[in-house]
Amino acid sequence: MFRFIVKRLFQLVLVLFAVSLIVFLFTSVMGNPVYLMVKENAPAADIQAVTAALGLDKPLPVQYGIFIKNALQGNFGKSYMNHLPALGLIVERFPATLEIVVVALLLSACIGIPCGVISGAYPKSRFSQVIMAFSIAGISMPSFWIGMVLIYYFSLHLGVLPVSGRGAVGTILGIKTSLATLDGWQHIILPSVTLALGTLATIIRLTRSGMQENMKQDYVRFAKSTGVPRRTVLFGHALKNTLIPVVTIFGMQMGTLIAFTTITETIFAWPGMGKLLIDSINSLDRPIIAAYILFVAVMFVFINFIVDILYVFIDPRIDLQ
Amino acid sequence: MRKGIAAVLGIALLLSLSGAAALAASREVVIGMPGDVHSMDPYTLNETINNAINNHLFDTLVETDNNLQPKPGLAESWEVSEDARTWTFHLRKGVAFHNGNPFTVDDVIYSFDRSKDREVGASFVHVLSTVESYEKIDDHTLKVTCKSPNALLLAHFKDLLILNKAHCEGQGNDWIALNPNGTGRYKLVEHVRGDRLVLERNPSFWGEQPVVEKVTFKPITNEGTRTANMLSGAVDLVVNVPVRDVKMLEKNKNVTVIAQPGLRAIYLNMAGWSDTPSKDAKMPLKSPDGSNPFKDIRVREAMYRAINIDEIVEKIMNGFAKPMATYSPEGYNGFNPDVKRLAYDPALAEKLLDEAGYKRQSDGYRFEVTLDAPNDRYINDGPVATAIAGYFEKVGIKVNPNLMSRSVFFSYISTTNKAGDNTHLCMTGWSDSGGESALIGLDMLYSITQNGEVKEGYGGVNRGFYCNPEVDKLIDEAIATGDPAQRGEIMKKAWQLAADDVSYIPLYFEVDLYAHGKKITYTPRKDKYVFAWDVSFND
Repeated sequence: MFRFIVKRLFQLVLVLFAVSLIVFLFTSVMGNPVYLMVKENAPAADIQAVTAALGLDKPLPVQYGIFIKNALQGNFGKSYMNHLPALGLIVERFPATLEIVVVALLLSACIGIPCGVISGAYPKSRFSQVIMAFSIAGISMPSFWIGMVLIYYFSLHLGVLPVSGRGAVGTILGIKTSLATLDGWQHIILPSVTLALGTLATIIRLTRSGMQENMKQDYVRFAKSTGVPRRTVLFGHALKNTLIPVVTIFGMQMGTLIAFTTITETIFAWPGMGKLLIDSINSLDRPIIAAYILFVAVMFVFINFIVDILYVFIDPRIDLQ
Repeated sequence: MRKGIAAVLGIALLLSLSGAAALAASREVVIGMPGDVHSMDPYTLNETINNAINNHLFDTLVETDNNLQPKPGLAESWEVSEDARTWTFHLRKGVAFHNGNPFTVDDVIYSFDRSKDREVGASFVHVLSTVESYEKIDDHTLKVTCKSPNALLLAHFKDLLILNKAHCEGQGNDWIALNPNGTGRYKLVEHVRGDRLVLERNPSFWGEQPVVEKVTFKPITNEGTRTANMLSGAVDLVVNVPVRDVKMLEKNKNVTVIAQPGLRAIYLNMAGWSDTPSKDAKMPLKSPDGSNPFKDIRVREAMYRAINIDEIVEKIMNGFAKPMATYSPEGYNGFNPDVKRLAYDPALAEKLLDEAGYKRQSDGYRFEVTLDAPNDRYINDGPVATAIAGYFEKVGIKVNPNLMSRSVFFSYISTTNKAGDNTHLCMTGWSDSGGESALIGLDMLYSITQNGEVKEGYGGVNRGFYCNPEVDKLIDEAIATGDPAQRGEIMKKAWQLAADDVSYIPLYFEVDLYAHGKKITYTPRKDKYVFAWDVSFND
C-alpha cells in the first residue's frame, strides 16, 4: 500500500509538470492580455510598462521558470482582472461547484444503477426500451439546451423554481453550503439535473451492458437454478461484477463535472469554478487559467487514486502492486 | 401520511412567508448585470460595470448629469484661470467617509497619486497625463496646474474616485480592494464573487438621499438567463437585453423595455494616408498597380456609398441601432448637425471606383482588401462585418473577412502595436462619455502615423492614420478654449473637415437596451453607468 502511494505521488509530480508546460504554452499564444487591461487608446509607453509589470517581456523559458518557482511556493500570481491571488479565487468557488456536482452524481447513481440493472437483466421489456430511449436522448442533447428548456418550463411556465443563482447558504457540520437551506435546494435542483442527465445516461448504458454480459455467465445461471432470490442475483452477484467499469467512469465523470461545469454554471449564473474559468478565458486571465488547470490535474490524480482503492473493496482479487 | 401532509403545508407556509417578507421590504432593487465587479479598488480596471459599481461606494470631485455635463461632486465649486491652465477646486466641508473619517484635500492627493501608480493598475495612469501638478492650498482647497491649456480637465476628473488616505495608507492592495471605504451614496454589505454584490444606503451621505435603500447587483453573464430572470420577476432591472429577446419581453405586461441610443459608435477605418498600409499583415492590401486605393478620396467615398446602412440596422440589428454621420453623438458639445450621411448608391460607387482608375479586372474584382473585425465585442459585430464585406463585393472589391475574438482583435489593430502594423481596413467601436466632441476628436481624428504619435496621447484610436493638420489645429484650439459655446463652434468645423475628407466610414450608434419590472421606473444614463439612484418606485 505504501509503495502504491509513493508511486502515485511520483506520477502526480510528472503529470503536474507536463500539464504546467502545456498550460503555459497554450495561454501564452492565446492573445495578449495587456490590451484588455489598458485603455484601447493607450500610448505605447503604457503598453510596454504593463507588459513589463506582468513579466511578459521576458523570453518564454524565463517566464516559465519564474512561474514554476512561484508555483512551488503555492503562489500562482495575481489575477490580471481581479488583482487578487489566483488560487484563492479558485478555492473560494470550489464549494459551490462541489454542491451541484455531488447532487448530480447522487442523482445519476441512485437512478442510473437500478435502471441499468433492470434494463440489462430484462432488455426486451417495455420499461427497458423507454430507459434506453431516454439514455440516448440524455447523451445526445447538449446541456446548454437542456438548461434553457428546464428554465423555461420550471421557472417561467410553471413558476415553481428560481431561474438562476445560488440560494441562501446555511451551515451543516461547520461547512457553509446551500444544501442546508430550502432556498438553497430550490436553486440547486435545475443545475444539478442539467449536469446529471449526461452522466445518468452514461451510467445506465454502462451498467446495462455489463449486466447483459454477466447475466449470460454460468455463475448467474447456477445461482438462479439453486433458487437464490432474483433480487440477490441481480444486485448481489451480477451487479457486483459489473461495478468495476461503472466506478471507473463514475470517478472520471466526477472529475470532469467538477472541472468543467462551465456551460451549466454559465446558464444558471452559478458562482462556481467553471464560471470563473470561462470568465477568465474570456479576459485572458492567465494566472487563473494556469492555477485552475493545475488544480484540476491534482484533483484528477486524487480521484483516480480513490477509485483504485475502491477496486480492492469491490474485487479483493485486485492487487494494487 | 399525516406527517407528509403537515410537512407539505409547512413548506408552503414557509414559501408564502418568504414571499410576504419580499413584499414588505419594497425599497430594495435587484439588478441583473452582464458581469461582476472585478475589484472594489477603483484604480485597478477601467471598465463600465466596475466603474459604475465603484461610483456607488466612492465619489468624484466632479460628477456628470444625465447629459454628461459636469456638476459639483466632492468639489463644491471651481474656478479656472483665463488661460485655462490653472484650476482651483473648493472641496465640500463636513463630508465623512463610511467609517467616519473626515474628507480633506489629502484624500484627493492620495487618490490622484494612486491613479498613477502602476503597481495598482494601468487603466487610469493616463487620466492625469495633461496635469503638471496638483497641490494643497488648505484642507479644502486644491490647485491643479495643467501642462498646456486644458478646458476639458473636468471630463478627466469625473473618472477619479476618491479613497480615504488614513484608511488605505500602509495597507496592501488586496486589503484595500476588499475593504472599500468611500464617501459614496452606498456602503458595501457583502460581495459573493460571481453571485451577488449587496449595497445599502449610506445615511450620512453629503447630498440628496437616494430612494433605494438596498441594492443587489447580480452578475448574469448569459443573455438568455438574464431575460428569463426578468420574465420570472427575480430581478427588477436587467442591463443589455439581447436584441432578439426584445419582442418577447415587450409582450409581457409586467415588463417595460427601454431602448436608448448609446454613445458607442461603430465605424470603419481605412489606412488611406500611407503608401505602405499594413506592412505586417498576413493578408495585405492588393491592387493591380500596387498602389494604395484608400489614398484616393473617390475610393473612400465609393466604399461609403456602397454600404446600405438602413438594411444593416433593420435586418441585423432588429432596428436597434441608429445610423450616424460623425463619431460625435447628438447632444455633445460640438456635434455638427449639418454633416449628413452620404446616401447609399452602389451605381455611383462603381462609377467613382472606375474614375479613380480601379477598373474591374478579368476576375471581376478591382482590388483586394482584408476587413478586420471582432466577433464577440459589439452587438452582432460578426454578422455586420460579413454584411459589409458583401456590399463591397457587389461593387467589385474583393474582401477577405478576418473575424477575431476581442482578446486578439485589439492588439491586432492597435495603432501602438509593437507586434506590427496589421490592419488597413477594420470595423471597430469607440465611445467617450465626456460629453465633449473635442475629446472624441482628440482620440479618433488627431493625426498619428505608422511610426508613432505626432502629439503624445493624441490620436490613439485613429486607426486609418488619418492626417490633416488643419483638423489637428482645430482640436488643439478647442481644448484650450474655456467658453463652451465657442469650443463647440470650433469642433463643428473639425467634424465638417473630417467628413469632407471621408476620413472614416461611420456606421451606427448602438442602442442600449434595458428592461425593468412594473414596480420601478428607471432613467438610464447615456454613459451606460447603472446607478441605483436612477431608480424610483411607482407606488
